[in-house]
Amino acid sequence: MISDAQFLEQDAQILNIFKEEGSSLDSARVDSDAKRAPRDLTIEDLRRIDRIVQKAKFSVVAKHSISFLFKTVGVGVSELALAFIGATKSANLTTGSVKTEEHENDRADNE
Amino acid sequence: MDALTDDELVARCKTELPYNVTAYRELLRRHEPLVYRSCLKMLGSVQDAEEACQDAFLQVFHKIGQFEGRSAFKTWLYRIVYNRCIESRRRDARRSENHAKLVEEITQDEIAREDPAMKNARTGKVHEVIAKMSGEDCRLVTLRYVSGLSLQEIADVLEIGLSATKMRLYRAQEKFKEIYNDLDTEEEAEEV
Repeated sequence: MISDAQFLEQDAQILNIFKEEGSSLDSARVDSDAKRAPRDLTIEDLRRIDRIVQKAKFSVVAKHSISFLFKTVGVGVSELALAFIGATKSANLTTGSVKTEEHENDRADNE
Repeated sequence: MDALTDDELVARCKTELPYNVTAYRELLRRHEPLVYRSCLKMLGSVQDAEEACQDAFLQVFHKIGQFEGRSAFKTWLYRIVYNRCIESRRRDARRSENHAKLVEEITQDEIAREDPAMKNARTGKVHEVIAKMSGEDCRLVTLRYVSGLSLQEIADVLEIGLSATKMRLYRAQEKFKEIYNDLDTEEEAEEV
């Protein structure tokens, strides 16, 4: 089991190494409620941020377009299916009435 | 916007996104640079870091409505980032050797073009040590010393207990010191 003192000592040592190397600059600059002024950001930071915002906006448009496409295709397919069912039903009815007519004609001939 | 806290910005994002991105952009301005640098340390490649960082913030954009505020926004964000980096590492491991070489070449080109501050962040001794560390150790050290998270925040990101986090971080610190001292010895031997 590691004591708090041991942990904190080692933590401080490594924090010093990062400070010496200048790598802790980032952690020193930002804490949990940090408010970064625009001057802290480099041009490269701003470019990356813009790219993310553009990509986020595009993803919304793409998502809506795809759902619209699916809805349109879905409505089209269901209408086609309904038309096909309707056509099949009317074809069956026509065949049925023709058959009845033929049957009645045959009966009349026999009589 | 500068005067608002993260929580207030999150609340505004919940009501304004996706039509108004002002609050979201402010969150990006506050957190993206540090998240990007953390990804860079965890992944070691400019291309992978930018991709992981973008993916993480896109997830924030789409899922911020589901963020219940049980933890701080920063913790939630770093949990997403941490998971993205693990995914990216796994993907990398599956890549072929040839592809890895290609990525390395592209990365070298990017390093040559990047600004001096970033170049320094990638080439220092600390960066070398982190690059030599194993996956989880590397991520823990990055979260603590680059992202500046507290022990409790790291525990929340990893979704494990405080004492387990302390134990893991302590081991990662030991590993860091060991590699750092080895590099020192190597440098001294080269000088002689």
